[in-house]
Amino acid sequence: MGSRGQEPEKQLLRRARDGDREAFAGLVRTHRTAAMQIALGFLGNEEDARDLTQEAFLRALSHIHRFDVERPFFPWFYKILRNLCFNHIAKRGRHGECPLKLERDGGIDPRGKGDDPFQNLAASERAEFLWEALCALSEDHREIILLRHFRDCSYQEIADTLDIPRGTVMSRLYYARGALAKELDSLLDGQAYRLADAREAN
Amino acid sequence: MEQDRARELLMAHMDGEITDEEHRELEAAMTASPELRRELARWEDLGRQLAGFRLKDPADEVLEAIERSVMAQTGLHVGWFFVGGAALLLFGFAVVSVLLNPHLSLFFRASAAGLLLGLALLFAVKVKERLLERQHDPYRHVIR
Repeated sequence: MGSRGQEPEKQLLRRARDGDREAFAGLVRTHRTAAMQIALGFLGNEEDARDLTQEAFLRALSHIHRFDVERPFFPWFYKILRNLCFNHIAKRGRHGECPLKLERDGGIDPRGKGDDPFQNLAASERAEFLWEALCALSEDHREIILLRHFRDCSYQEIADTLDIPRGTVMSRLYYARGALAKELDSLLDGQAYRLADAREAN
Repeated sequence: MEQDRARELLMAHMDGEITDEEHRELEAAMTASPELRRELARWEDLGRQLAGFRLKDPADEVLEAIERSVMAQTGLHVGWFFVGGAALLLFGFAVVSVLLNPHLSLFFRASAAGLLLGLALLFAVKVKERLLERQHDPYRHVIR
């Protein structure tokens, strides 16, 4: 996380800190995809994800004078975005709404599609199950799965980003993966029952 | 070996983050408990399944809209700072001017003081309500 284009990013950060709007636009362009993916992973729907991604960039801009430009931008920005997302989820929960509003199309795609349309369809269905299972996890569990499996972060990067020891990363991953496997099992069981019901009905 | 430690090592092994020393520790534990080896196989299977998926790329229009919106709002915080600061100064000036003005009737000044006191009380009640609500908030551990 944050290892791409260190030198140009440092220059952009310096210029952005000195009030150069174009430099900040460069930072937004570099990190907007990852930010949007993470926000979507936390919030479950594009509308909220877009709003909070924008808000996170604006907050980063208003605090950029306090940021150490020698460090990579993304882990710092990630914390801002994460806190905004968690606060948003908490607020929805306090107002008696469902904390997550799930996107119908989901936020996950199969990696690479083959020539067989049936296999592609099956992979898309599995992606939908995985998305539903991910969104059923607690925020802590969802976050660590997102960081490890979908952002390819190392244990050290996760530990630094979340301010937790490496051992906690490992144990949290254990419980998060356990919870995910359980959710997937229950979703796939449900689907198997529904398919069985449909066959009987026919 | 403690169960928690074994679980941590299983994760490190599965993610290719295990050190040589930890690997020896895990091998010894798996020799002592074949169930651990089966558990590792289950975790690795889950890892392989997850590796077949990636986060969806947002549409280009969405990304461009984010950038446009952020850049359009970059001057707003400075504007709000000035508006907020000026409003606070004006309010303070108005309070002092009204309450300490001997040319205004006592009735008017008392009404203004009552209004301000009422506003201050309403604000305090709202803050207290939020604090009480926060004590029962299941998400209070979330960093704000």
